[in-house]
Amino acid sequence: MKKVIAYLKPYKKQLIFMFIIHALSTFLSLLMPYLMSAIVSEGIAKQESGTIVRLCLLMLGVGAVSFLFSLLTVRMNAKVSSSFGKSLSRAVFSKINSLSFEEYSRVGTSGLLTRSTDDIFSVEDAAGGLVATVATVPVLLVGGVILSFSADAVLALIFLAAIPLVLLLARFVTRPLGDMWDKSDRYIDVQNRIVRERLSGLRVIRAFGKEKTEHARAKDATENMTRYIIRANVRGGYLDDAVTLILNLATVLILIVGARRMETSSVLRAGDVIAVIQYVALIMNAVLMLSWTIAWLPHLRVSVRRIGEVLDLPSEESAASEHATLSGDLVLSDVTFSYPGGEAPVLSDISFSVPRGEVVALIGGTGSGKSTLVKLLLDFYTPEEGSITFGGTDYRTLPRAAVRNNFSVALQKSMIFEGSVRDNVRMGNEKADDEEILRALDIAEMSPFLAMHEEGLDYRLAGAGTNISGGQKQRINIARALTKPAEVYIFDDSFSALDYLTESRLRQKLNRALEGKTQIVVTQRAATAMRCDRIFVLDGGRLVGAGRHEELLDSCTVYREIYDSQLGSKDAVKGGDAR
Amino acid sequence: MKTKEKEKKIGVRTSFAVIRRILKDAKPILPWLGLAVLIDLAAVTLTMLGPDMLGRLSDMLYEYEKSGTPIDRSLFLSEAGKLVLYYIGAAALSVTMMVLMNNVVSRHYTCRIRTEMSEKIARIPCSYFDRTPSGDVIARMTNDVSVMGGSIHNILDILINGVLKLVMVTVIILVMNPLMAAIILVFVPFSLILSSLLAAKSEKHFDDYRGSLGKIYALTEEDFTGFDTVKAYNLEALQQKKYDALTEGAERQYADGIRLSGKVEPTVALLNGITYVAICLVGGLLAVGGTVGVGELVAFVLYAKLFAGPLESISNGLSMMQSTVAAARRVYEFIDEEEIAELPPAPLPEGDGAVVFDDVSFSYTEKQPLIEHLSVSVAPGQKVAIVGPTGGGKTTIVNLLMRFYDPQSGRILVDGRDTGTMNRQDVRSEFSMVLQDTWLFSGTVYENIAYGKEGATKEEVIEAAKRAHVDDFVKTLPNGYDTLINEETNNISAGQKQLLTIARAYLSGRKILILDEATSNVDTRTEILIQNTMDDLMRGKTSFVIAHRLSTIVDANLILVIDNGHIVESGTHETLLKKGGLYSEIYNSQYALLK
Repeated sequence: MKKVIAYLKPYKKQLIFMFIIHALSTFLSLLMPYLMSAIVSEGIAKQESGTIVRLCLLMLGVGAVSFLFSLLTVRMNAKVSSSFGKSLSRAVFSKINSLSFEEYSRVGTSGLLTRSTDDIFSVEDAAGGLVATVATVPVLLVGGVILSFSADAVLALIFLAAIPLVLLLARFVTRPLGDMWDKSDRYIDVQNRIVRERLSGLRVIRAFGKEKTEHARAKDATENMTRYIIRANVRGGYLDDAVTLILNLATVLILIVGARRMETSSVLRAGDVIAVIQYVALIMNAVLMLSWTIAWLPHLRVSVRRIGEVLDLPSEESAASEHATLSGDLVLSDVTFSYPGGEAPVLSDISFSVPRGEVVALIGGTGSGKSTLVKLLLDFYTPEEGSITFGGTDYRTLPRAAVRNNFSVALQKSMIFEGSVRDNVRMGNEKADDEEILRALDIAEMSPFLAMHEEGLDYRLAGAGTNISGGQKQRINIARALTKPAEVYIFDDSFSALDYLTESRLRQKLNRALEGKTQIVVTQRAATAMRCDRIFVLDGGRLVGAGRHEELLDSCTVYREIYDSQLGSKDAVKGGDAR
Repeated sequence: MKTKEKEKKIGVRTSFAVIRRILKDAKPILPWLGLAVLIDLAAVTLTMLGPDMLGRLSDMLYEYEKSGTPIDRSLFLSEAGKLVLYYIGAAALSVTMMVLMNNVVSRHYTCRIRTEMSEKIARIPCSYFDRTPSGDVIARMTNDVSVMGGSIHNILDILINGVLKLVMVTVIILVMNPLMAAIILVFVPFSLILSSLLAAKSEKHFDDYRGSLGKIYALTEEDFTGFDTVKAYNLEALQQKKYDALTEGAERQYADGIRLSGKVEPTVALLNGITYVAICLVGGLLAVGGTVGVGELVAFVLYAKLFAGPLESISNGLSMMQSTVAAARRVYEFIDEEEIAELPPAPLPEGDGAVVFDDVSFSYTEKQPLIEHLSVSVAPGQKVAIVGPTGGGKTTIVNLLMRFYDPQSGRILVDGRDTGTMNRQDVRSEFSMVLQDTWLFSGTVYENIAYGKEGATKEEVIEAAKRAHVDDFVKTLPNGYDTLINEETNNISAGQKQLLTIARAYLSGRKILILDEATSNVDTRTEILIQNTMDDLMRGKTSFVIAHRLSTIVDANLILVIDNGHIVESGTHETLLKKGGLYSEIYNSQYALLK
């Protein structure tokens, strides 16, 4: 909560200024009825046309000043709330990008998406309105109270007594509102998640004819959400009417008591009673505004809390721009890791070292822990036990960004950002010029693709790369990895969508281009692995073999099976089953 | 097609058209809105009566003060009692109105329009989603609908209430004093015209703003989807730069918009103030002259104030309308998006899955023809392998078979029937499909497999899981089949995901099978283990297999080698090897690596 409000701090001056202007305008609005009664008592009663004209001009002046004040606050409000929204949304976006994977998964993509968009927009909308309420209500209240006391203390007390009643009622009515808004917001998350899934799984859903089921799921979330929205709005709406009713009843009571007091004491005049009633009407506006704000605050609070929760999440250390280059030696000792919430370790007691300049392969079956190992190398997660060192330095003493700066990786899930081919490749190195980009693309075997499109590097890639094939996506990711200057290059299953012909050409060029750099090639293909200097074989999260291809063929059953399954006879696997 | 699209867009281009659309959409709730108007009418009448009743009570006080005759207590109390009843009645009406409007409007607009958009997803062609960032679609379905629904509620409220009050007060003041009424009425058109002009000017900004929001959603969604890439490349700063640029623009548009629309209220207030002063001046001078009584003047001024309220809320409604219109436009654009022309479902053709491509030509963009004059005929039960360099059009064949896209010319026949003349769902129900991009939804492992078949029994699901070797790893998961797959689907490996989708396809058991790199992330040992399953899966079925691992397709009845959209070679493994063309080059390359 505090963190969100802190983003209003830079606008303290403007907010105070707006507050004062609002208060002044409200004060001016109190002046109008006074001037009106002066016209009657001073002008008409005394038959003085000059006074009437003068007072009218004064009223006009007051109106004009109010107008200018309002314009000023409108301008200021626009400035403040948009700047506030801008800085808050930027902070949230930057925060989310600084989260560790654990924290990220805890909230989930859809939850983060709503928080960094919808929630912020609704807080932004609220900021200016809140100032107006905060400024107007006290002035009206205090002004009204002073004026009514000056008329008659007893009558003033009657309506003062109504105020705690109103506040009590407000508390009672609004207590469950927070919970309702919270629930409705959670259903918005669910709805967003379903929509995201429907969009990403469009083809599968259509293939199975599940559009109706998916629609039903979305509809369910929408209906639940609507139910809570209606419930919350209706409950909040009661407050409005209840407050009006209480104050109206107070008015009747003031009349009755007023009549009694007029009979018993001669001090009180009818005019005073009527005056108090008019002040109640005036204050009614303030109280209504207040109760409306009270009814709506819980929703705002939910949004603020949801944003605050994100801002409160711990960041990874900040990414300083310049980092020392580490020598490309990697040493893993006794690394054990399981995912948060997962019970069995995904990796157990992994120890190996990769000297600088070596090309090593990580091979293993489905779910053997290859990709997890890559994530640990990139410092996405921290091992539970054991340590990893890069160029002799322990990860625990290195900022995460420093580790990642020394790696360049083509991830298993190829990512394409909406933009040109150039933009996508240049993400590896912002300083790369077209020549370097073209060279990287050439190594990645994308030259034929570029030749086919006259736009060349400017060819627009749709979001998620929907307008290119899986293999092309992989190759753009490889090119991106190549433009990034690093000590260690990781290719996580980056050739799986490439045919062997393309792969073999690509790998040859790759080895030439990355001469002297450490390479880690994660693969399922024995043919890919066998050309590497050394091969590490993973099975069930354990390192079951390490060495050269020839050695492993003899010493490692798992490797032998993989090899045979791809390039040898099928019989070998049967033996593997018996193992 | 382009011009047609344009025509559709024009349909909601002007704000007037959008408003008309919103009102037209309100048709189903018209009876309720009518009821709301009636209740409001009663409520407004009470509002008008209120000052009068209060006035009578205060008159009694004045009377007492002037003449000293004691107040008739029973009369006074009964009048006060009436006032209490009146206030309670007014509150009851107001509550009824509030509950009614909330239920009817929220349910109708927020809920029904969202539901309509959700249904719409099912009827929009794949090509739309392939070129539209999903963040933008999500923005339309959430934020835009929220803004639209939220303010329609207020606008209807304000307009109904405001217009009714305005009409009533006009009648009352005209009866009271036509001359002074004229002063008030002269200013009304000014207020309304001025506020609509200001509001109209703000519309462009709100339109731009909503467009920018869509882009912000898209960027955010993309960033979150590629979170690991962002991290691996330390792209945080670059992404932030893009984000900052977008928010910069968006917030400027937002500020410009509310700066303009925010002027409406003070302007109308100023005009009201001028009216007020004019009445005081004219009324005051007339009163000095004696033509108007002081009491009449005071009452008139009170009514003039009553007049100002609704005028302000109407113009407020007008200014609010602009952001509503901007949001509604994006919502309606989506709802009006061109739909797939769909035929009614019909009985499926009899047969065992013969597939014929008859002179099929297709391209995604006019500039680049991808598949040209493709003719192939596949007998039932045959295994067809599609191989070739990436980007050559292999996945496009899947798009065409499944009718995710339709060919520009030529026909595709399944069991003798042109799929172009069939209902798409019917066509798809002929196929089981496993795609390169595995897709799981956030649900349990069990639910994800059961997805393959409507009403599958538990035994069937477990059997499918066993056959696809899913059972093995599921047993190691903390909650077994009830393990929740999270939104990022990062709690199981890529290969395991593929096995799940294979289980799903196995369960669905349809006539024709499409395997697009179905086992690319599955290790070869597991692949061989599930080979029996795959063989079972394919037995007696026509199958299309796209694979880079040629070991899995050497036994295919027909191998199509596709390069640049053309079938450059076709035949069996043996004949193609003998031929020594592209296929043998690809095939040998995996062994060439050994050397």
